[in-house]
Amino acid sequence: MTPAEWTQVVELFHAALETSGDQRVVLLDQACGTQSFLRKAVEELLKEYESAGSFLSEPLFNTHPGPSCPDVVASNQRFERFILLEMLGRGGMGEVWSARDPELDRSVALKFLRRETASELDTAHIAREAKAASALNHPNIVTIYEVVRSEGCSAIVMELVQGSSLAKLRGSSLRIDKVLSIGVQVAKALAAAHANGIIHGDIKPENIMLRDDGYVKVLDFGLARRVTMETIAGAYGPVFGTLRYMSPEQATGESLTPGSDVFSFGLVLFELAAGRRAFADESPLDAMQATLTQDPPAPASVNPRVPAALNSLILNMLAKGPAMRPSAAEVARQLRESYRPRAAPGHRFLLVGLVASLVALAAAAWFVFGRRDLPEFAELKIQPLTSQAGWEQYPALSPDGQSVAFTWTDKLDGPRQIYVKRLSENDPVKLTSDDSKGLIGYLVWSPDGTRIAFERANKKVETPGGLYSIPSAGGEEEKIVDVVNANLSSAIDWSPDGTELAFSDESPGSQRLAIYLFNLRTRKQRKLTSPPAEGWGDWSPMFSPDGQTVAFKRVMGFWADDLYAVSVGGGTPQRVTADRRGIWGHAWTPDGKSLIVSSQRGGTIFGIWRFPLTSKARPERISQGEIDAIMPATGRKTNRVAWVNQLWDLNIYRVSITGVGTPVKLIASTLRDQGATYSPDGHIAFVSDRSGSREIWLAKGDGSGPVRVTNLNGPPVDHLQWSPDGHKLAFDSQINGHSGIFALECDSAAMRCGEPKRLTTEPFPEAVANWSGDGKFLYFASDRMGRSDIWRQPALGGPAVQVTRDGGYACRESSDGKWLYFSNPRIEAIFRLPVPESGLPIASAKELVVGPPHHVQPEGWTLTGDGVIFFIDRATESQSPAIRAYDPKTQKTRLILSLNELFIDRSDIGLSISPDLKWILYSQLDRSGSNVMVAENR
Amino acid sequence: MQPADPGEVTVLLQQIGHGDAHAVERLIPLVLHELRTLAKLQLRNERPDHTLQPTALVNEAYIRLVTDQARNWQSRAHFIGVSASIMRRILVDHARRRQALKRGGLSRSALDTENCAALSDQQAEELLTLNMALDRLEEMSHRQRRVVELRYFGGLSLEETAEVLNVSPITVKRDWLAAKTWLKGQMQHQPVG
Repeated sequence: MTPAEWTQVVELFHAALETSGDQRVVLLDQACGTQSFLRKAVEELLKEYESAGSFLSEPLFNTHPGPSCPDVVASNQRFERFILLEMLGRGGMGEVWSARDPELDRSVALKFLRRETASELDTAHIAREAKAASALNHPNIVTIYEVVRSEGCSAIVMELVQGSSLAKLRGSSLRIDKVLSIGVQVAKALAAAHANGIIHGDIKPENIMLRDDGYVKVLDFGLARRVTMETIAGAYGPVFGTLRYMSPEQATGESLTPGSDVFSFGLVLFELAAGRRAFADESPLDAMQATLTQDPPAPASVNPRVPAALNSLILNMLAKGPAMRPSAAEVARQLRESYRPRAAPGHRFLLVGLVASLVALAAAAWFVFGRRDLPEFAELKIQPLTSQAGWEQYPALSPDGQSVAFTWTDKLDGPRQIYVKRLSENDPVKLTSDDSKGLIGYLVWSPDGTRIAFERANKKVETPGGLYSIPSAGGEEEKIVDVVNANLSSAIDWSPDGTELAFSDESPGSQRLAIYLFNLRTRKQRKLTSPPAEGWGDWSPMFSPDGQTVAFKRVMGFWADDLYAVSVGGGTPQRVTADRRGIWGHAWTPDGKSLIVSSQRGGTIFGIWRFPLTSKARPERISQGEIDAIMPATGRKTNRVAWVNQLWDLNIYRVSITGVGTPVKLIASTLRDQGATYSPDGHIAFVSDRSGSREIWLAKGDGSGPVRVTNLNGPPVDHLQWSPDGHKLAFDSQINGHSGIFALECDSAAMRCGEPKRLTTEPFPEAVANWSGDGKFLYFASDRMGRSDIWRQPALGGPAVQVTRDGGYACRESSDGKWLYFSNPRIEAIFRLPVPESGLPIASAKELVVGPPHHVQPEGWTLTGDGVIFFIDRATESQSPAIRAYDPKTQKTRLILSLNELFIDRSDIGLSISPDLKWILYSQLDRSGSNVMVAENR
Repeated sequence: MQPADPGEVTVLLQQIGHGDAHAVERLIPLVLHELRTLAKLQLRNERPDHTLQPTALVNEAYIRLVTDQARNWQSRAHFIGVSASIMRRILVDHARRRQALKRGGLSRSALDTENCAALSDQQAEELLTLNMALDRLEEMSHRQRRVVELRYFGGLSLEETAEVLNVSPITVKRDWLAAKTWLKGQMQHQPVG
């Protein structure tokens, strides 16, 4: 049939449908006349229509619940040998009935499976899975007796539970001890199942039964996976509760892990404890969306009676990344510790809750990460190696464990010399004589202890650096091989048999670092890893004691690292850590079974951890609390571990905008206070880790009354920026696995802020956010295109558009809205782009504003209302660092204040001008230094 | 294949909503990758569902690719508008392989067998017959074929289908009625005309 003919047929068909009987005959007679073909086609269509029934009436392949099974269901009906008593409910898979088994003389529950579900293959599968779970014989898991088939229907015969599901409790507020009691039982059931390799896959209130005597029974183990997929499709149907309790990885179709059960359980616990759902969206699809993209509120913020320990536990269970969640066993343990049976409500319980939270505060890392497994490092004798003032860094233990080599300088950016100190003696010996050739990085001893190899970067960027070695007893240094991009933050290592050196260098054609092996005998170099396109590459290769494996750090972003291990023969690297936090050094234990790692996984401050590689034991923390412990080093034949304790006492100072007068220490603590920025009404927001983790604080304009306004407990926080109306505070961070720009809604007069909300939504890390002058747009830096550039999105959310084309980092709009000033991470200068009335700043019309001879710190500058640029000019050989001001009207730069040495490494110093143009805030390093620590197993 | 940038997908959806045909072309490879991955996961033995849910897959793909607040029902409709026909292609592909396997030949790897296990013989045959019928419908009315695809493979409502095709819901209703009636005849009898 041709399209034209078909159109005719269709029209006639519709017209005919509106008539019937004789009328229809007349209509067809008139319309078709002698075109019998046409008439026949229409008549056929009409005939099909009459008998069409349900063909195609639903979307493909069954999305509505089909006919029930068995066909006729009523009380006293028999199904096989069972006598049906009463219908208990209708589940996703079919109806549930209570029944009597006259043969075994007991009451049971029968769960019928829909016809479509129950093919032969399925029944056997279901039976196997269901029985596997109940074979665990756990008091909190419903027992499955058998699966029975009759007349094409299948039913699961299981233990009858007198009580109701948690779903019935919805809406009522439970006492906390009840929540804990229920939670412990569910956790124990999950833990038992997980320990035997069984995952539930569909934990939700409907699947948790609360017996009249207080016992909890978890239903539907192993059956759940099928139900899940079926009920997603039931988006058109009534039963889609499952969607709401899905973990992010389930929602995106990844495989189920025990962690998925923990997540779903976390949502249930949240609901029980807080009295409402974590993601209280209307539709289940929206809720599913929310679990993927939003962070849950803290349960305690919804229900203040929730104790701190339970609050943190639930939040940890709801981590987006499965690896970050506690195991079910861990959850059981923590719930058990909080739960005191039959605690009287009110006073006594409050005490328990308080104690629990105190304990939690006192030993945060321990509480979250569990008991120490073991005693290899149980008793550590820790002592500083030297107590010279200055900067000792990059320690390397000699193979015999008797000496330590390290670099030392008296100024942070100054030339470093290599020293060696025998642990039994007092004074170190200097090895290198002259360092004007360039900076030295990590050190490594040769396996026979006769030489020390190191990487040196040439001061001139274009000239390659190289690997060198020097006799450990002193002597001339010699060059081993050229290195294109000597990244001094990446360690080097010597193979145990002395034949090869491992290091990182640029892979040809990109700036990412890959791991290379250089054979000292053949003088040949080969590439060992191929890092992914996102990220900065593979750093710091370390040979295992048997020389067969290389452990390295894969850097995905700023302090977003994980460790991998690869065979020296090459191949696909295996992942060792899954934290995506900062790693500042790693080393193998002599038995090759663990890695000692300096990691940020315990908070913002780096700690030394032991990661077992082979056993399933959890990572264990070795160093104590409040000082960054970095660059661990181990010996090959000893149990000694060395690392660097790095102390930075950074404080916020204020000086008059003219630079005249003595700067005053405004906000201080023994730890780091930095990143201060004035709000439009003259209050101060700053970043501090004085509480043990990096958080945002508010203080009055005179620095008094500091108040903490976030409770992030670990992720990095940088680049605070107030919105023009003073109501929002933007910052970049990584919360619950998302890197991006977040904002707090703040009432600065009341010194209070709400929960952080994400402003950017794309999966690329974004940083250094700033609002446009009219508050409509949000600018930020992103390196999604392979290089840091400035992007812009509507302030309330929306797709981002690229603004700069050849590099951009921090930016600010002028107060008249006509210019966008910005810096570039590579070039230490400030540029500007014109901003037209409506539309994007014009990238091609870039102008240089502040450039050589100055070296503008890329995030250390700001713009006043009258267009003057204040910036931090970093130190060079000829001058110390300083704050300067450039006035575009006069085109003159003047010195405001000379600074002490700068603390550049970890994040922004923060330069801010008060709204009344009287004061400048900046951070200064008051006390600092590092000590090499040595610990020894006894 | 680069994973899709959700921001890009949102922008494309908006453009499609404004009638930009080129945007459709650009969206297809992004969605194709996502749907293939999801289809593979669903059809593998690890999730041995007796029934297929292509609409669920399309939903999953949508959630994976479009995760920002600009999402609205119209965007979603457009997304599914693109995905429905892709979904059809993927499923037909699976059905063909299933049939080929059954005829005892071409399994190149255990993977092939796994992927097709969940499609029963009857389903595979029905799917292929439907596919052929849809091709014939396309020759008679492009719009009606689209309507069937969107409603049947994409699970769109009448309103959503109308949004995607830029016609009135009544038109969609009439198209739907005529098309599925005709298709039923095709599936059960020898094709005529």
